[in-house]
Amino acid sequence: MSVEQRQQLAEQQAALVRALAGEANPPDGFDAGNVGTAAAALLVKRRRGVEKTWPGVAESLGDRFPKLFADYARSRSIPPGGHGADGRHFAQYLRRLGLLSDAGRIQLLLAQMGGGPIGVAYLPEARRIVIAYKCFDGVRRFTLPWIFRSRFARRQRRIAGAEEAIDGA
Amino acid sequence: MSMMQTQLSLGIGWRPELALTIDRRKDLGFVEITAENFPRGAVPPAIDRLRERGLAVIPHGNSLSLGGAEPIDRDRVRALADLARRVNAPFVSEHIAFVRAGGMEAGHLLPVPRTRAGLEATIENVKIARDLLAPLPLALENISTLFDWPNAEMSEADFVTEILDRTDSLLLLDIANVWANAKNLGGDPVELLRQLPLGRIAYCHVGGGEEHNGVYHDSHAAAVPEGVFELVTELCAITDPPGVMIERDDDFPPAAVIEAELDRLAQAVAEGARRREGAHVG
Repeated sequence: MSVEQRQQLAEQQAALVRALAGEANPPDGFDAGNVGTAAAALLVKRRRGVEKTWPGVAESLGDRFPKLFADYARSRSIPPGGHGADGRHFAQYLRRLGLLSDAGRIQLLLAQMGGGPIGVAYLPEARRIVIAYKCFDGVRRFTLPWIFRSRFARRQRRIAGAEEAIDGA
Repeated sequence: MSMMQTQLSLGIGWRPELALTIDRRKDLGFVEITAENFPRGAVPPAIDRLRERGLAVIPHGNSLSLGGAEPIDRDRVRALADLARRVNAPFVSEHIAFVRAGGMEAGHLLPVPRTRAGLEATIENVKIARDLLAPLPLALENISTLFDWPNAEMSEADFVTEILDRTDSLLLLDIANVWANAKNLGGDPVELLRQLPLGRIAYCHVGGGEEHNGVYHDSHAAAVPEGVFELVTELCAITDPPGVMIERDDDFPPAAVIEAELDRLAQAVAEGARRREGAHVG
C-alpha cells in the first residue's frame, strides 16, 4: 500500500472521528442520520464511563450532569488513558467553572498525587483545606479549617492558582 | 485448514461484578478478560483460582486499532502478550476496527472502510501484531456498527475472510454483532454467517442490547435478545464452534438473570447441535 493511500485513509478516518465527536459534519457519502445516532450513543457511553470511574462528581451534579458533560465533551476529545483520565479532565473543567464539589475536589487531589509527594486543595463547601501526602502505606490526608474569612475571595483565587500549578506538574 | 482450535465450551466475560456468579457456576470452560483493565499483568486472585479449576483465560484487547491507517503501537501488543503469558492463555483476541485517528481517541470500535486501502492497512497491522504475539494465535472479531462507509468495494464477509486468510488468524465470531448489523443496516444474518470462514472460529461472543427509536444498540448492558439466541442455534446447526460466551459490561442484573442467560445459551447450542447431527444422520 502506498504512502498516499495510507495518508488518504488516515484523513478519512480522522474526519469520521471528528464527526462522531460532534466537532464536524459527517464526511461526504455517509448517512448523516446514522452517524448522528452513533455520535449520540458514543456521548452516552463516554458519560457513563466517567459516571462509573468518578461517581462522586456525577452524583454531586445531579440533573445538571448530562448537560454539563455534553458541554465538556464538545470542547475536549477523549484523552488517552480511558474513562478515568476523561473523568479527571471533566473534574478539572468543573473546578474552573466553580462547580466541583468538595468530594470531587478530594478525588481530584488524590488522582493527581502521582505528580509529587504532597498536594493541597481548598474545599469551599466546608471552608477547609485538605492536605494529602504520600507515605509508606499509600496516601494519607487531613484537613484544616480555613480561617482567613476576611480575605476569603483572594485566598480562594490563590489556592485555585496553586491547584492549577499542581495540574501542570 | 489444519489449525486445531482449543475446546472451550461455555464461557463468560469476567467482570468484578460477576466474580461471585462465575465462581459458583461449575459448567464454565473459559472466561475472557478485558486486557486494558489489567495493566502490567496485574490479575486478581479470583482469576488465578478459575485457572486452578481448569478454566481457560482469554485476554481480549480493545485498543490496538488494527484497522487504523496509522501503524499500531507495538508496546500495546507487547502488553497484551505479557498478559497472555501471565494467564497461560491459549490465544488472544482483538477487533477488526479502528479506535483512534488524527490524534483523537474515538472511544468506541469503528468500522474500517471495506476498500482495498482499508484491507491492506488492516492486514499490515495484523501481521505486525501477529509476529509480536507469536507463537500465540490471534483471533479477530467482527464488530457492530450503526453506519456504513460509502463506496464499499467488498462485502463484510469477503473483507473478514481475506484478512483472516492472509494473516492466518482465527475468528472471534460475535453472533450478536451479526444480528445487530442485519437489523440496523439490512441483510440476512444467517446468510452472512454462512459466508464467514466458520472453520476458523476460536470462540463466539453473545451480548445484549436495547432498541431506541428503531435502532438497536449493542450495549452489553441489557438482556440478550431472543433473536440472538436463535441465531446461535442457526450457527450451531451449521458448525460446531469451540466456545460460546456471554458478554455483560454494565447495568448488572441479579445473579439469577446471568445464570438464566448462560442456561439459555447452552440450550441454544445444544439445539443447533441436535439439528446438525440430525442432518448428518438423515
